[in-house]
Amino acid sequence: MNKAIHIAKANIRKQKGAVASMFVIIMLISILCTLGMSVMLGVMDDYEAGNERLNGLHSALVLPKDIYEPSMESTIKNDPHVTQYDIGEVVFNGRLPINYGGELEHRVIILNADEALNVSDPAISAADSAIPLDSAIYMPEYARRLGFEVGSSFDFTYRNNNINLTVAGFFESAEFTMPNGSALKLFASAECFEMLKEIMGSSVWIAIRYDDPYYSSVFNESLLSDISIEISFFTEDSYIENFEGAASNAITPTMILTAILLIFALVIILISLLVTRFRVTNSIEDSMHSIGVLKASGYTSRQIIAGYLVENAAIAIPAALAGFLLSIPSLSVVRKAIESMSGTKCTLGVNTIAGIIASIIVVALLLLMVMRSCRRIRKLMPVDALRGETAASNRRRNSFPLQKGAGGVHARLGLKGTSAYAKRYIMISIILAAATFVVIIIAALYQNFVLDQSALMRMIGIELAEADVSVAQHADADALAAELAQLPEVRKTAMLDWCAFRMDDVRVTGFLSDDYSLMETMLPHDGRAPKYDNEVAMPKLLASRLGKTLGDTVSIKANGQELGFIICGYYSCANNGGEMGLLTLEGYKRLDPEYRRNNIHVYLHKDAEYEAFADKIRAAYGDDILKVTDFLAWAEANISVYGDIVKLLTQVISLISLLIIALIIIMTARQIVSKRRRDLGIMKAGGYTTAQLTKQLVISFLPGSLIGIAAGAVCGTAMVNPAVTAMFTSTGVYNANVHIYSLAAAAIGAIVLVFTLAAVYVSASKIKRITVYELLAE
Amino acid sequence: MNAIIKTNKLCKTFTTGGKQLHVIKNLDLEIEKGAYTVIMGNSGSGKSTLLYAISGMDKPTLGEVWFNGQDIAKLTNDELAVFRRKNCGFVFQQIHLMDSMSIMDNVLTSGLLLSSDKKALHKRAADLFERVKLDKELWDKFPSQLSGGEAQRVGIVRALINEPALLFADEPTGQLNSASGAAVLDVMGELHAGGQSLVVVTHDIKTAARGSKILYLRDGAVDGMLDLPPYENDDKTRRMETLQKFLERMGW
Repeated sequence: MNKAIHIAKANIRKQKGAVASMFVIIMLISILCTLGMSVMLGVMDDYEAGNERLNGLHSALVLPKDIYEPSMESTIKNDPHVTQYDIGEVVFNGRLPINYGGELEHRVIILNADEALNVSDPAISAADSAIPLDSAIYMPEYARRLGFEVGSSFDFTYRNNNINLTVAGFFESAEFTMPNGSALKLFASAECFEMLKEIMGSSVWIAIRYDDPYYSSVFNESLLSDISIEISFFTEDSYIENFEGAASNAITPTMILTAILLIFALVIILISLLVTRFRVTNSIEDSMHSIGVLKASGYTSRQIIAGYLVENAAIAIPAALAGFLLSIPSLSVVRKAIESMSGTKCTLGVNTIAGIIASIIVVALLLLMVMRSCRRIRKLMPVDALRGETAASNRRRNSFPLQKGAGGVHARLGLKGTSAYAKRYIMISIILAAATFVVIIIAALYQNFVLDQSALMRMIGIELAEADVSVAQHADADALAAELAQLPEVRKTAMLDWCAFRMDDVRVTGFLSDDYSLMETMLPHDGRAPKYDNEVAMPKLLASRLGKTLGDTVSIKANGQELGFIICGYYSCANNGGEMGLLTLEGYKRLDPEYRRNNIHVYLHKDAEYEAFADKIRAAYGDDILKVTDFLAWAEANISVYGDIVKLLTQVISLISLLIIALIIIMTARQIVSKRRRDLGIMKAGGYTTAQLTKQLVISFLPGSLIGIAAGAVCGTAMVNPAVTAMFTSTGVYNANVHIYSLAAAAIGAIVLVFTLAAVYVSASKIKRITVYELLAE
Repeated sequence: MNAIIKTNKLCKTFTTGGKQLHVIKNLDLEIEKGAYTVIMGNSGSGKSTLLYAISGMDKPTLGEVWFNGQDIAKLTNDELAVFRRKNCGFVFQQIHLMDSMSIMDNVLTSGLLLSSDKKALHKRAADLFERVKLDKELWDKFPSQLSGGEAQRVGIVRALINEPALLFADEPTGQLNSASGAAVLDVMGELHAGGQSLVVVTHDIKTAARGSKILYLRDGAVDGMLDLPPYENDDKTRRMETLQKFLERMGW
């Protein structure tokens, strides 16, 4: 063992720079793996702990007063699993246009802050008593991310009543942690609550806690079975939430973030294995003579290989340990990111066991790679090693001869360098391909989730139109749609109503249209849209859950009727756990013959302004229109959290990718300079300047870098959609429709190339220190 | 004869282990154009250090080195590189060919620094190879495939490719057997006969005997000097005796 340590020490001393680079890379892997595993394994427990700490609700129901049956309270009270409950009053009236950076619609549940609650009683923080009580409203912590602070105005319009409220404080809440897919839960002071109730009316609020939170979905169903109501994401007068749904809403963005980080860590692990292989192989080549001397002196192959193992273990184990330790303070950054998304205090800690296991696996993989790379030593006879079995001395091919071909002397000498150290440049090429691929994928996510969110909206299963018009019951929606279609700013109109029904007893959000061919973003990825009145389309994930496939019949229940429908197509849907169904209007009328169309999707021309259009039709059609919604803005607000995740990921992954490229390029370039030290000295003696030799070194990196980056960019561009689809398949997405502009991919490739060459240039500073004198003094 | 190199109070000091070692001390020296100057001396006398300082391979600590009227002691490293490529050819004891390049490319690597005319350079390299009697089939071989003598002749061709004003050689036969060494010395002698200025550092009496001027260094200063007639026309036995006596006088 002492001999192995002696060999390892000598190897480490020889390549301090490479050792430092490997140390940093392994440390980064350890940080990412420990953080990723800790978050992935702990986020649900953290959510549950938060719910427990805040005495959060497990079931929430908002029902219209005329639907609520008093018998429901006895059902609740008599259930042995129910531990606490509240039945009270809330102000809830569908979607309210709320003004934050533009008027957006959200479902808002307003409770009375002065009424004592058994379940999820809010602990108001940062309250400002100077704010008049008749307008004081309290918001969840996550609203701070949306730009609210104490004293901010909270204004909306309800049936021509302008309601102006002021944020008087914030509270932490374990439920309703995201406005998208859920609702905005607010508390109002008693005076303010009464004022709102007077204007907007009130509904029944039911909040329940159980001995087992997962009992909520079962109990919600039994509670609703006594009353005739179907509640979905889009229903305006009622609302339902169970623990699983709330948890899923709260942790899904975090899980996506973590999954992407772990995939990225996997890519870095593969890169580090590749680097280890080349580093060990090169080290063996460089130490061939020493290996020969050791073997001649009686060292066994096993002892020499043990030296390499000890050397790499001496880098990997402290690096993994340092990474594990650094993940502890780094977790506070992740906690802050999670808190800003959920508004709930995150108490996640480092999962020591997962972190240690991940680190052990990484170290073991690296050592296995070292052993594999050392196999050559076993076969090597001392005499062969002493003769120096190096590639350079055995070269028999003169690549890029100087007397032939085009190009200046520096270009040809640079290319000679590429050819002489081809293996190193192939490694660089593969690493750059992987790094560029990752950066392209993350840039595509940025382009599609942050800059232009249409792909994300398609994933979520939203049909994009500039405006959505709700038609009053007394009006003729078809006639109104035809009239709107004639307006000069309108490109077209389409019917897309929202409703709720059950498919094989699963409650889903229903979409109805008389012509799905008009849809632009809500498109099937398999099969086709419903065309006949006996057809239904749904997400593939839901079909799988129901054990169905295309062509199978599924039972649909609504309005007390139940009929079979044939599954004709699959849609992507990352929303509401993929619980969505699409029927034709005629199809739904088979279940509810009295159903009247009530929604018009309006597509405006590019140059048309939504505000002007909305004002114009409000004025022109008055009572025929219940409300006009800026649908694009509403959709954007709903998916804003995903945009925030991708922004964070873009920053973290781009930074780490560039850091890894820099480390590996610097390590390789310095190795090449060290290996070519003698040749560079000879050239300096012959009159080459440092600048000319630097130029040659940079040129030598060019072919491999260009090929690698181009391959990464092309693969990234071609595979971005399948890769992102694979990432989101578990959420119900089978075609993410993500793409990246070729020009953007080319620009990213150019940036990576410039960065790579700049890193080579910086590493070439070592050439300056090579003197002719040391050559002469040999 | 004109002086191609003139030094003025040239000093070179090394610091090792916190101690200063003055290897060259206030040396005033002239190297004549067209001369075959040989620098001799015991180990540690400073002969190689002097060679590096006057050839622009290293910078002196103090003093001036005038090369064709230019003080090269004041030049930066990159300026020295340009100076070397234009004015100096260097033959090393260890030969120092680049293993990854063919023989021809080893030579052209130096030539292409000053000329982009590949055809003309190739022709010049071919002429030089013929002059040093290096067979054509070896031009595309690699250094590892050559004998020591052949490799050193490639080193001489590389040093001459840019037609330097002065050819420096540091123990050019130090690693060669006597037959190869003699062949290399013949080549250098022929070059001198053709008008090439040479400065050679050696401790080998046979190599020194080819020179026209012998400088003997002791403790970083010129301790003695010997002028010899042209080698070709001289009586070789008497020349060796003269040189032997000079060296004995110097304490060789």
